[in-house]
Parts: sequence; structure tokens; C-alpha cells
Amino acid sequence: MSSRWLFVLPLLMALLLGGFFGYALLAGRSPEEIGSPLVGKPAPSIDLAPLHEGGKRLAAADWRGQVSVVNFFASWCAPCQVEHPLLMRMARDGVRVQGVNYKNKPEDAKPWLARLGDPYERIGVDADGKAGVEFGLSGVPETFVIDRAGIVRLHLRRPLTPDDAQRIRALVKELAK
Amino acid sequence: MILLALLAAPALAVEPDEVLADKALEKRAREISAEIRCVVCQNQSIDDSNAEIARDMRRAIRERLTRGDSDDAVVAFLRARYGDYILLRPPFDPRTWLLWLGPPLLLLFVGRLLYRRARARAALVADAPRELTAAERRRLDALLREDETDRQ
Repeated sequence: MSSRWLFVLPLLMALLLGGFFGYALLAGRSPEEIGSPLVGKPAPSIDLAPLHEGGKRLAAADWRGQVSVVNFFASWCAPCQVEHPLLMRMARDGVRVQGVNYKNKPEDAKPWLARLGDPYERIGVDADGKAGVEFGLSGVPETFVIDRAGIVRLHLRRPLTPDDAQRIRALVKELAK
Repeated sequence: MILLALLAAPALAVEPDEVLADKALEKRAREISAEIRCVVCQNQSIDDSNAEIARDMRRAIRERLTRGDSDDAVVAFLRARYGDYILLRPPFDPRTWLLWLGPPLLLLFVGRLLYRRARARAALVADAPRELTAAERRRLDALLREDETDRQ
């Protein structure tokens, strides 16, 4: 009886391993699997120089007292351009959107914004990606919603979809109450 | 040619400008980054990875160590931002106990099967007819001979 089991074992193991590999192949891994441990925690403290001359610095203090959407972007990032119109619409509808210009030369970022429109109330320059690490960034674009107390409420590790934009709008409205 | 290949140092992702002057700190930085999983390259440590984000994280680690943070504090900083995903050696918790206990459990299971099989075989051997002793052999020969003479 027990020795018969031993003959089935290799088959069982093969099935088990095959199952794991098949799952890994078919599960469709995405960066969102990393998760967003910052949600529910205070937004990291950053203090970034402005992109535009005469603009205001983008600092953690700016997130107190008002609901903010913080969007990491770069002119070299194609998905950033795809989600851009959604941010423009959000800004037009009165949502406070802050930008972090991630590892992007100002001389590249400025014409990009001039061409596509500038939805950002403030833009901080993250030249070396330090603010990116502070925010647990894994790529651009990524978007955060920060409530009035400075707590991160939403973190999307992907370019915004129209559904995301809708969700953010609703969340901002809810948090602003 | 082969010798040359063997002599070639393994390519390091850590770039010269990242290396700290303080040897002890640099060693700690390397040890930490070897345990941190790169977030864009799945199964590489940030110590191995040439990804930009891995480089940024290595720099953040060095910056914090230089500032006087403990190793645990540095790992905690990264974990607060990227979660357990970032640990190449996952912590032991309800989500991962199968991962940790699976191999030893499987080993125990197979070990038990093998042991039972060995025991069963030993029992079979014990039950098998054993050789006759010399006295038995003699007695058997005698009986057979008697039989022969009876028939004649």
C-alpha cells in the first residue's frame, strides 16, 4: 500500500510544479502586485524645487488642510501622455492636482507641458528620484490621493484609466466633505 | 580563452560613484541591498539590478546608513513604502507559512513513506522460509531415504 504511494509521488510532484509554473505564466503579473503599503499612512515628507521659475516649492506641508492628487510624471514616459487628458479634465473640474516631475530635465518637461497643457497646481522637480523612493515608486506614472490630514488614501501604480479618474473624483469629493 | 572568462570579475550593478568611502558602511549597504528585491525586475536583488529604480534605492540605503540609521531601520523604511514584496526572504506569517513549512513537511512525508516501506520489506524477509539447519537437513535426508526404501 505504502509503496504504491511512492510510485504516484513523482506524478504528484510533477502536477504540483506544473501547476505553480502554469499559474506563474498565466496569472498576468503586474507592478500593482507590489501593493501600496503607504495607503493609510502619512504621506512621506518631501520638499522639491519648483519646475517653473517663480513657482512654489512642492512640500509635504502643502498636503495639510486640503485634499490633493499627487501625480508622478515625466515627458519621456509614454503612458504619462496617455493619461494626461484625464488629469487636465480633473484640474478643470476643480480637483487640486500636484505634479512631481520625475527624473526629467526641465527643458524637456516644460515644452511637453506647453504642448499638452498643464493640469498641475504646483510641480516639484525630482531630479534624482529621491522623492520617488520616498513614495515607494516603481515607475511612472503613479498617482496618489492624500487627504486633508496628510494621509495617503489611494495609490495607483499605473497610468490612469477613465474609470480611475472617476474613482479619484468621487474619492476627492468624499474626502473634502 | 576559458581562463580569461574565469578571470573576468562578475559584472556589478553597483556603480563606482555609489560606493561609500567608509568600508564598514559600504559592507552593510551591500548586505542589505542583496536582500532587497528589485521592484521592476521581479527576481533580482537591487544589488544585482541595473534598473534605475534599483540604483535609487541603493543610494537611499547608503544615505540612511551614513546618517546613522540601523540596518533594521533602513529595511523598515523600504518595507513601509514597497511592502513585504521587496523582501527576497519573506517573513514568516499566516500568508507564507506554507511557503516556509512546505519543503520540510514534504520531506517528513516522503521520509515516513520510505521508512514504512523499508519496515514492510524487513517484515517480509522475516516471514520468508529460512534455511534448514544442519540437524534438520540430516533428519530430512533420513526421512527421504526411508521413503525411498519403503517404496522399493
